[in-house]
Amino acid sequence: MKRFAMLTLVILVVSYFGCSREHRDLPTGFLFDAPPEPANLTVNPGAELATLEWSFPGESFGSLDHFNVYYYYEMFDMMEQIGTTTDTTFIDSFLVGNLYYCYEVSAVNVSGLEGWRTGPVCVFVTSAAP
Amino acid sequence: MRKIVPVTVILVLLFTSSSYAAEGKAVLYSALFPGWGQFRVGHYGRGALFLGTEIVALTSLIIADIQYDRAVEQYRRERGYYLTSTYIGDAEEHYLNMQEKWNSAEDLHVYRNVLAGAAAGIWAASMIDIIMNGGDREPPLSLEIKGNGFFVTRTFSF
Repeated sequence: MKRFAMLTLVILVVSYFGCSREHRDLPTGFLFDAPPEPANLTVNPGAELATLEWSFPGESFGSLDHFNVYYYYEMFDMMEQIGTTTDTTFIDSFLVGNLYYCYEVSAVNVSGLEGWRTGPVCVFVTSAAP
Repeated sequence: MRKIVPVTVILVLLFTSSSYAAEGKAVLYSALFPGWGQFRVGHYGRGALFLGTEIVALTSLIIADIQYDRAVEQYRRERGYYLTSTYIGDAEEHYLNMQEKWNSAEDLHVYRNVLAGAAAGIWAASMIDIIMNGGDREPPLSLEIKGNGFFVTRTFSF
């Protein structure tokens, strides 16, 4: 009987030490308190410039740090940050005329967390009059 | 998996220093690897069965252990990406990946435990077999003189 007890103990020890669990600590929920997405993005083209305007919920302004403004390159499905602003308008100037420009905007809160970006809005920018 | 080796070494030392070793070397050989002791006492069928199943179980266990380690590594990487993400889109993507890798690691952990249990079970069965039936060793070779000749008999037991 002692032999069987010894065997059982041995099996338990081998199983426990051999197969320890190393993937504990799974975060229990999606904890990402990001600001809301800016809405109603409009881009007004001008001569070698574009004026961006959008709206943002007033109750979220308290935790807002700034907005990020991006170019969106549709051909490559890539983005490039061109500037930041604390206002709900942005003027992109010194553009090359006769080209399409696409923009996206997102909000960043005081914790540095960035919310969803708006969908791209594209405009045709004309050349300045000679 | 790295802990199995020292534990096995300790067990072997335990068996060699215990009174069980005195009962016969076959028990020690079976403790070292299932089926070995059975081979030593001439039970080739049972020895092959224990040896073969143990090799299959241990090989599967090693493969499962490697896959589990990879899944844990991938889970930790995705977790790190998730915790350091500053854009909600990246955070969401890495969170989903992290959950997927965690589930994968969880499945492999269960699979690995089952295989470790199977390997330990085979080892235990082999030990029980050698303790219960190890003593009835039949002479593998016998010589019988008959008139002007002799018979050489080779005995196999399973």
